[in-house]
Formats: sequence, structure tokens, C-alpha cells
Amino acid sequence: MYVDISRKNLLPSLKMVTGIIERRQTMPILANVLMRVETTGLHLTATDSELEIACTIPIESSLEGDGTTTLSAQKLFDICRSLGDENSIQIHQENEENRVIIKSGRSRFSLSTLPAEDFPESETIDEIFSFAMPQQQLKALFHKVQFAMAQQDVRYYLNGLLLELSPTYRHFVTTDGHRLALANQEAHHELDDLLQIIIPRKAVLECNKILDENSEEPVQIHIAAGHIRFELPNLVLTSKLIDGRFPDYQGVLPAQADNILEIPCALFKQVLSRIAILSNEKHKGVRLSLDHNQLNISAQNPEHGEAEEELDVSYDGEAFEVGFNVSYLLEALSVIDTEMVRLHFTNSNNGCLITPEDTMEIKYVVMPMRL
Amino acid sequence: MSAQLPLAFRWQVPSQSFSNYIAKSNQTVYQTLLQVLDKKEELSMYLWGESGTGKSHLLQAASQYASARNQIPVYLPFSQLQHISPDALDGLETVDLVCLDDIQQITSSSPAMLLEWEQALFGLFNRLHENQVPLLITANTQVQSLGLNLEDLVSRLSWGYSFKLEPLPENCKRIILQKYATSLGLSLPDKVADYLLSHHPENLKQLIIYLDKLNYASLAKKRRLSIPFIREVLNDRFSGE
Amino acid sequence: MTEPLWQRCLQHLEREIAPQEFNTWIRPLHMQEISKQHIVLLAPNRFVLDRVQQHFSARLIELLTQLNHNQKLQLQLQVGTRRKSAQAQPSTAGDRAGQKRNNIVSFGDKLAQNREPPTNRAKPQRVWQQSPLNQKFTFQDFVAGNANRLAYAAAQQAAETCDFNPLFIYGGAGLGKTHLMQAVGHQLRQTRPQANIVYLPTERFVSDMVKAIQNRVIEDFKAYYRSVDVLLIDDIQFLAGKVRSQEEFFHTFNTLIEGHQQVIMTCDRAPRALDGLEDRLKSRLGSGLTVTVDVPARDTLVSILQRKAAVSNVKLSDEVAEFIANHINSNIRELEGALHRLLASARFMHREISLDFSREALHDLLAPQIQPQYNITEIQQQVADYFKLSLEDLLSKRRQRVIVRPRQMAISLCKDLTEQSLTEIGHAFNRDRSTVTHSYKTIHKLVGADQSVQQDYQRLRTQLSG
Repeated sequence: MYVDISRKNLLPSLKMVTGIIERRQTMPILANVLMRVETTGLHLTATDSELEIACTIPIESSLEGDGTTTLSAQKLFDICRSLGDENSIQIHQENEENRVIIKSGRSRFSLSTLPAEDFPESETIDEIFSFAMPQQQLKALFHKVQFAMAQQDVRYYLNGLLLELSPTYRHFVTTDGHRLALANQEAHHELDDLLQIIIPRKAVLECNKILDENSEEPVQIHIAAGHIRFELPNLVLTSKLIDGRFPDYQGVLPAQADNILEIPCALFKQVLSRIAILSNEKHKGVRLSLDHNQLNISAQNPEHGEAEEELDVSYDGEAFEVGFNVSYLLEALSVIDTEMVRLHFTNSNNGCLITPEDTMEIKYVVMPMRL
Repeated sequence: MSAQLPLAFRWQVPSQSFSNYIAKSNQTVYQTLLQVLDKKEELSMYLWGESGTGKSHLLQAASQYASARNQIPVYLPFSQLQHISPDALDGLETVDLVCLDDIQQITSSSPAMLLEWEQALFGLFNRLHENQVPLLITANTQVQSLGLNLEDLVSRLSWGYSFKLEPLPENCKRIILQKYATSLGLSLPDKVADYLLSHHPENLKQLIIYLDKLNYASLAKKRRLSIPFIREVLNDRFSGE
Repeated sequence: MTEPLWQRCLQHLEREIAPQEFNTWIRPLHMQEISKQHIVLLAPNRFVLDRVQQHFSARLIELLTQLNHNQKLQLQLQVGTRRKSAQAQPSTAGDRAGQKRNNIVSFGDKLAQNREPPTNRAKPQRVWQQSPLNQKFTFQDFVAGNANRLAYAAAQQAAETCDFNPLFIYGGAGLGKTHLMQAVGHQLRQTRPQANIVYLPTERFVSDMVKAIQNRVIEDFKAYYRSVDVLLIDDIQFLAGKVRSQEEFFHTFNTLIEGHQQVIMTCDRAPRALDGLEDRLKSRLGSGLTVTVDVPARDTLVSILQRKAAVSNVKLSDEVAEFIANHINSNIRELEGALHRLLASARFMHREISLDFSREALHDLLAPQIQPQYNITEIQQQVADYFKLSLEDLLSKRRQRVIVRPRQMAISLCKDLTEQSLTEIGHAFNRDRSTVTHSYKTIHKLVGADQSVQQDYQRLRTQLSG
């Protein structure tokens, strides 16, 4: 096997596939990247047994033709990264030998390999549905909701993103049990019924990395019974799905509320960040007191002191007080890109609905705190 | 102490069906019930027993069973329906199965209301009998001690099959609790389940209510079900001799 | 192939709604009709309909629309059923079996088909509600004994001639009144196939009349009932306090008697004892032959049991039949209920019906007569006396073993012998429920392991039941 490839072509792809490999591995082969040289290019595949990324890189020349092997992803990446920018890299393996030689300029590395046969095979998936959408759109939708995914929660099905497809819409939903994010996109699907899948947290984050926020080019999404596959030209990400039932999110979206607060998003964020300095470190509670066109935000920290700020806002609902975890509010506000933000309140035991000023396509629900 | 409230999800707990009914010492009751549903012999059945012995489970399973066979069942849980009045029994002879759960509730109404109820039940019994519609009734005590005044009703209710339901053994309760926890997306390890059972030797219904409470708390605090966590939530006190 | 819209809607609802609510409000609905524009759902009665309307119709419409590719469907909820109730089954032509129909306004419907009052006696049109006869209620299946011999003879006579008119059969619940009356009906249907023989419970007479008044067809109602050849009316005591129904019944009754049409009534008491009935009606009811059925003697009960068992191909031994008859003898329905239970238990447990098995299978039906009542205070006192302790010590917080053990024993006895909850028992001992459980477990462990504990426990139990 022999391949000659430019560093600037290899490095981004290598970074991408290496990214999904778990640091601590019980199976040594999973720390390796599968390398396959064909006339069409160099194929790299990495997997953590739940998630697999495969990419194809065009190559300058492949003198001795095809070959496959696996080698340490991290070492290969570290080597390539350390090389000069304009260099080309030659990767070479003699038949039957259990090492590859990596050369670039006057540097020479020899890396031990493991047989390609031992590398987990890509899952063949039985597609039940597929659709496509522009990369930048999918990236934007992921971005709107991914922050609210749970992390290592005992409720394993919350550690992911619910994708719900109906004949007429796509819903992207995440929740950690305290807050919920929902992004809606109208779409036409050839479906008779709802299709719900839960994409694991890691797959969402990795997928977000491979998507180009400036590209109109479509990403193909293939859904199978236990898998999802995102296909870009030269890149395929395949993930197992979370086998579980996502809770009924529609049931927790607050009904139409009468008490609506409208406030400049940036200002609100600044004030909350200031007040947060003196919120309780553990619970991060802040208190919002609402009155006619008045918002008072305050926090108390038993050890360090108190903070308070008054704001003139647009509000003509009833006067009341409610507490929130300030980071939940800030995280939601940071993905709203309209000038004004709306907070819809029903009462201090119900979730607060946060939306951009101009659309109900994006919804955040944050549950209050008893302070 | 500040407390984060969790989202009030409606959990999809398993419906009570025959497939997840554990009969154990109630095997005869279960078999007889199936026979009633298949209209083999007698068409009315009166089940009684303490709370948590699976009465509602059997009745709900029966209505699911009927639905699955394209029949129309009616299931009225008297203890859950706040504004139920005797007209709830109107026209029920036109369906395929009638299930009345916890009818002891009617005996706590005023004497005049009780009389109305008794007459309504009497009428319903006769109409169902004529139309060959199976009737399943549950209560917390046997017919004779329900406190009904209408002898004609009492004798009719004791006419079909009447059975007492026995509580389940502990190991079955454990399995049921674990399954229920799973449906809430929670895992209830054996040790923790046993802790619950030994420190709260109540009936299953009450234990399920505790699990709901634990589920809520676990979502609020992002904690798994462990013995210390259960102690904290259920405020267990220790007193032993 | 895709599933029908309504099925898919149900699947969604089942996921969204708590199972109990789904069972109570959604399962009773029947999808009667669906088109591109609308869907018709039937609820069995107003009670269910109102709740569905209030709590579920908005979601139903939303779901149906969503699943229907956003084509809005109109939802119509009606009271009705796909199946006609037997009582409401008119025998008019054109009512094909199995035809799905809606009986919301069954009364109006039927009358629309029968505008002319049914005066033609030769071709009676049974448009008013009446009940079918129970196939098991024949003379052959009736077990006569001394307690009902006269009633039996009178009923047989009534099935042949119209000598005793009216025939009034009274007695306690579950003693065979309806059986006798319907036996007459069965026999007459054979001997006089042309005759219009109507059986109905009194409450139906009352409710039909109310509906007839509401629908302004009371004249039809009157004409119909006055035209029947034989009227069998069950549980006439339900006329008590219903003035208008009594009035109407009085006139119907008189017309029938005058026309020598047979009237048979059953009642839970003698005519003169019917409170809430007009005197003139009372005396008319008793103007023919009044007979009573009484609680049958044991030997009659035994033969009833054996005959009933024989119908299910089971031979019931004298010993077992006598055992049941000795314990359950207040009325025949309860007796039959016990037999049903015994037969089912034997069948599903694959057991011979022996005396022991019967005792075991029916234990809780027999129990009320046998089990004495215990109360906590009594148990506490007896245990204290037995161990020569004061009641205060027994209930104190002291933890010496000489007190702890008797206390635990008293607690276990309460749990064994009373129906009180753990909390209640705990309360009576100033302890919490987990102490009750702990005590109970300790004692039961010791009873197996320690002979003296076992002895004490047994003695106390015997003493308490004595």
C-alpha cells in the first residue's frame, strides 16, 4: 500500500474522524483509524462502536495500488499536525508487514498496525425513511436546541435529540427534564404517521462539526430501525439511535399565556450575567419580579451578598414573582438571534415559554425554581 | 432550600393488560374472568379484595381485551370519577362489556342518592342480563357487607361469579415495581426495590404512587434511584426495637 | 398498507393519555362513519359524551387533522351505538340483523315508522320496549318444594286457563318469582303462538312511559299496553311513589283484566304491604290470586344445586350439596353464585369437588358466619394479662425484653386477627408502621424457631378466639 497525500487535505478529515474516538479504550482496535487506499482516494473510518465516521480524501498518487490497514488515530493525527503546512505526506506499507512508514520531507515515522479484518465492519442499515436538507439549515437547527440535551442522565433517552417527522413538519426537541428546546421546520414528508427517533448526544455534537454553516449543499439523512446516517459528499456519519421513548414533549409546552414580557435580548443577557455573579453557586437562582412595564432581577448569595437591577420593559400582565436557574435562561437567550425576546408566563409553578419576537417556530420552556 | 421544578411530563406508564397481569394465587379468578369475557357461562362477575390486589388491573385489562376484539367496552372507575351520577349507567346495555370499578363508592352517598344508585344498578343488571352483556364489578368487600339496602340487587350481584382477590407475594411485587420504574425511564435495582418493599410494606397501588413521587424527585434533582435518595424523598424514619 | 385514520388516532391518544382515562373515555367510543370532511363518533351515553366533548374533542380534532395531512376534519359526537339493545329491538320489518344503527332517538325513529296506533289486534306490532324471556326459566328447570308449591301450581294453572287473574307472586329476593312468571310465558308461547305475550320489568314500564310523555306519544303507549294478550310484569314494588305511572298502570291493568287478558305480577312483598302505592291499586293487585314463594327447605336447595350442577355435567355429591345448602340458604341466587364459583374453581384447579375442596374454595363466602370479630384493645388487654403486665407497660416506650416480646406478640396478633391497617395498628401501640412490620416479622420468625414463643402465640390465639 502506498499513498501520497497533501497535509492540508489530510489533516481536517483526520481531525474529524479522530474526534469521535474515545480516549480510554478497552478494545485497542477502536483507538485505530481504518485506512483504505483505492484509486478513488483514501478512505478513513473511525468508530466508537456507537458512532462511525467515514470520509474519502482525494489523493495525488497511489503507485502500488490498493491496501487496507489500521493504525493509531491519535498518533497519526499528532504526526500530521506537527508537520509543516505545505508538506505532502507519503504513507507506505509493505505487504505482510505490521507497520506503516510515514514520510514527509526528511521526517520518517514507523507506526505499528493492527489487521484491518479486526476492525468493526460498518453497519448495513435497512432504510425506512430518508430526506435531505441544506447543511446550513440542519446546522442552524441543531444549534438552536443542542444545548438543552441532558448529559449522562439516568434517563438515557434524554441524552440525545428527538427528531420527529410528520407528514408536514420536522421537530427537533431536546430536554434535560428542567428545560426544553423545540425547533420546528415545516416540511413535506411522504409519511402517514409520526416518525420519532432519538439521536444520541455525541452524534448530534459530531454531526454539528461536520456540517458547513455556509453551505447550501444538501445533507442526505437516512433513517433505519436502529440507525441514522448523515451523508455529505466524501463523508458519512452513522450512529446508533437511542432505543427508548422520549417523553411527551407536547404536553409540557405551556398553553397560550396572557402575561407576556418583551425585552431586548442583548440587554436581558447582560443584566442576567451581572446578577448571576451573586447567585447561589450551586443552584444559580435569580428572582424575576414583574410589574407593569417593570422588571426587577435579583439574586442572593448567602456568603457573598446580593445583587439587584431594575429594567424598564414592555409588560402589561399581572404582577408576580418567579425564580429561575440563571444559566438555563442565559443558554436559551444565547441562541436567540432576534433583537427582542418574549417570555410568556402563566404562573410561578409553570414553565416559562421563551420565544424570539417574530416566530413561534423556536420554543424554549424553562421550569421555575422555588427560591 | 431552593428547588428546581422539573417539567411535568406525562409518563407513558404501561396500560394494565392481561399480558402484564400476574395471577399467582388468583389464577382461578383470572381464568374465570376470561371465560366470562368469552361468554361461556355466567356473564357477571363480582371481584372483591383489599386495595392493591389488582382489581382495577383486571378490569382495565378486560376492556383492552374487548377493544382488541373490536368490541366496545365501558370502564367506569367510581373512585376516580368525581361527578359520577346514576345516569352514567344509562344505555350501557348497548355496549359489549361493562366494567364498574370500586362500586363501594356509592355507599358513601346520601341515603336518597344511594337508593337511586341501587335502582340504577338493578336496572342495569337486568338490562345487561337480557342483552347477554358481560358485567364485571369490583369492590373492597363482599356483596353482603357492602351496605346495600336493595335485596334484589344484592342477590343479583351474588348470582354470577364472586371471588376474593389475594395480594401478590413480595417477589412479584418487586418485578412489578421494576417494570413500572422502567416505564418511567428509570432503573430500580433489586436492592433498592427490596428496600422499598421492606420499609413500605403497603399495597402495590401505594408503592406505585411512591414510585411516581420518586420519579418526580429524581427528575428534579437529576438523581438515580438509590437507597439514600429514597430515604431522603420519602422521609423514612428509623425506629426499631 | 396504511392503517385507517381512526386507528392511528387511537394509537396516538393511547400514548398521550393516562391508561385509565383512555379506558374510561376513549375505548367506549365507536367510530361510526368517516369521510373526507367529517368523522362521526358514538358514545354509549350522555355521561361519556359530555366528558369527551369537554376534555378530548379539541385534541381529537387536532390529531385527526394532523394525521389527515392537515385536512381539517369535522368531528361529530353523538350518543348511540353500533348495536341495538335487545330491549329497543323493534320487530318491524327492514331491520336486518347486524345492521349498524344509531339509537339516539330510537323512540322518535320507531314512531316515525309506526305512525298509526297499533290497534289491529290480529297483527300486533311490538314497537314498545319489552324484554326477552330467559331461556333457562322454564317449568322443567324449576325445582318445586314445600316453600313454593302453591305458587308453582298457580303458575302452571295460569299457563293453561285465565282463572286466576291477576296472579300476584311475592317473596324475598332470589327465590324464583321471575322464574315462575317467565315459565308461564314460555309455555304460553308454545300453546298460543299467536298471542302477544309481553314480559317487562316495572322500571322499564316507568321509563318508557316517561319517554312517551316527553315525546308526546302517550296515547300510543296506552293503546299498546292495553292491547297485549298477556302481561308479565316484574318487581311491581318499583311503582311505589311514582304517581303518574301508577295511574297509567291502574288503567292498563283494569282494561286487561276486564278483557280477560292474563296479568301476572311479581313483587318483593304482599300487595297490602306496598307502601307508596294508592289504596285502590293495592286492592286491585290483590284481587285475583296472591301466592308467595318462601326460602326453600334444605332438601329443595340440595336438589336445586344438584340439578344446576348437572346442567354443567357435574355430579355434585349429597355431602357437598348439603354443606353448601347449610351455609348459604338465604336465597337461590346466592346459592347459585356459590355453585358457579365452586364449579369454576374445580375446573381451573383441576380438582375433584370434595367436601374439603368446597370448604376451601368457598371459604370467604362461608366466613361471615364463622369468623368472630376482634378488636385491638381486647387483644392488647388479653396479651397484657397473659404475660402479667400492665397495659401501660405494654404500650410504653420501654425496651426490656420482657416487655418487648409481648408487645411484638400483641402487634402480630392484631395484624393476624383484625382487618386494621398497619398504620392503625401502629397508632394503637404508639408506634409507626415499620415497627408493626418489624414486630410481625420477628414473631413469625420466632414462632418457627422458638418453641416457647410458639406455645405462647398459639395459646393466645386460641384464647382470643374462645
